Amino acid sequence: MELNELEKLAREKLGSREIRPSDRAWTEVAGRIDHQKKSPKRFKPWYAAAAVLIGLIIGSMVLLNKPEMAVGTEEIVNTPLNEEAPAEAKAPQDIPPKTAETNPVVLAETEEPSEENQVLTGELHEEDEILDDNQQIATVVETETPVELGTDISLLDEEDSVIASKVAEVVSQVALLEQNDGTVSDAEVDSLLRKAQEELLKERIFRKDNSVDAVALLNEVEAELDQTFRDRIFEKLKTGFIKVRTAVADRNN
Amino acid sequence: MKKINPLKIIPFYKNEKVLIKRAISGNREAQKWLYDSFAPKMLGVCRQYIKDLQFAEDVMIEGFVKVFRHLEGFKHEGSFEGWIRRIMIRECISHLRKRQFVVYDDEVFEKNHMETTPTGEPLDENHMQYLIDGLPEGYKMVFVLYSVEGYKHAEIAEMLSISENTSKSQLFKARRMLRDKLRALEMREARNISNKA
Repeated sequence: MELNELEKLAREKLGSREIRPSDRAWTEVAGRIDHQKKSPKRFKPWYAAAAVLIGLIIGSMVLLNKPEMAVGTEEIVNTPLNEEAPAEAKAPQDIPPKTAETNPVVLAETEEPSEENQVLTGELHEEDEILDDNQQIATVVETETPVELGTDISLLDEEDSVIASKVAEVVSQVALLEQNDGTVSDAEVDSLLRKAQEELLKERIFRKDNSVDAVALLNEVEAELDQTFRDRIFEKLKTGFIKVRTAVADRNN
Repeated sequence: MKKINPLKIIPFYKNEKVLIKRAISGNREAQKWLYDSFAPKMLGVCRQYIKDLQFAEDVMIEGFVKVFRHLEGFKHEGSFEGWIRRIMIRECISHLRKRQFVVYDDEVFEKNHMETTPTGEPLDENHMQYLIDGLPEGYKMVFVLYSVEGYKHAEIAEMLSISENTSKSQLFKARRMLRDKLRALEMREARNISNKA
């Protein structure tokens, strides 16, 4: 037999040859197909990594935003009290110096500590009528003064003379400004009062026995915090304004 | 095991496409029918490459698991039997590689060169398989792929990760070895006839 014949024969016979497999073959095939169907989906590490990454991003965003929100809310709550609280002691004296005509009245009030004491001991409603033109300050006096009255009456008595001297100093400065410029704006009066208030607070921190007044120290720190917050607001307004101005200038060009 | 109703099988047989779709959806009867239709032929294919019938059956099982796993990948563009056959052949090659049966060293081949054939009967399937089994694995694979399955040298080279020239060389040597075995067989037959006379 030639090789070609053998190859031809092999192609015909072996190509179509059938061998019956054993019975266990189908059982094994079926079992393995079932196992593949029942086997749970493979763990996909990419999905897990993506989920962890998203979680970290969300968590970091929450953590980074939270302190800013806390500072913001704290300032919103405290700012009016901090700004107004120191004014309570001088509230009856702050309003009158706005005009030159009321100066003698203010001086009279400050020179008579007994009237101040009356205000502090409960006759606040009479003072409110005088201060009707500035309701904000009046309400602060109503709400805040009783707390201080119960605790620091003796302290206020001691400091009355100091406050009176400060008020007199402010009034003299306002009078000087009026003489020089003719009119004095509210902003100028406010700045003078604030400056006097800060000086009073600084003096109040240290007592006569060289100990530190914790309440006064806290008030000062809070005032500084308020100042920084205000500075930040102004800074942002300024940068925003510059940006808008630049954008408008660019557009016009 | 659940008995299959022949009335249900008849319409399956008429439409292979429907049968494959049902097998994809997990219909066990359809899967069994496909298996029963092609398993004997595929075991014959595996047996061409693997001398041991048990190993050949294991490879066929592995091949059918892959067939059912990738059944969705069959696009109905060619013969379904041809698709299964290709999977089986690749599975056989993979099996032989794993067991390191395939050796492409000429010196090893020469040792088995003069193996004798046992029978003087006319060449039937088993006899031809015996002759092919006597070839070294590398020769056998190239010979079966080229002469029986009808693949070209380029395809064989890609499947076996060898060069085309190596495939041609392997086929040449396989043919030479088979020719020698055939001559030895014919001489033995002639001697037996003269002895009987």
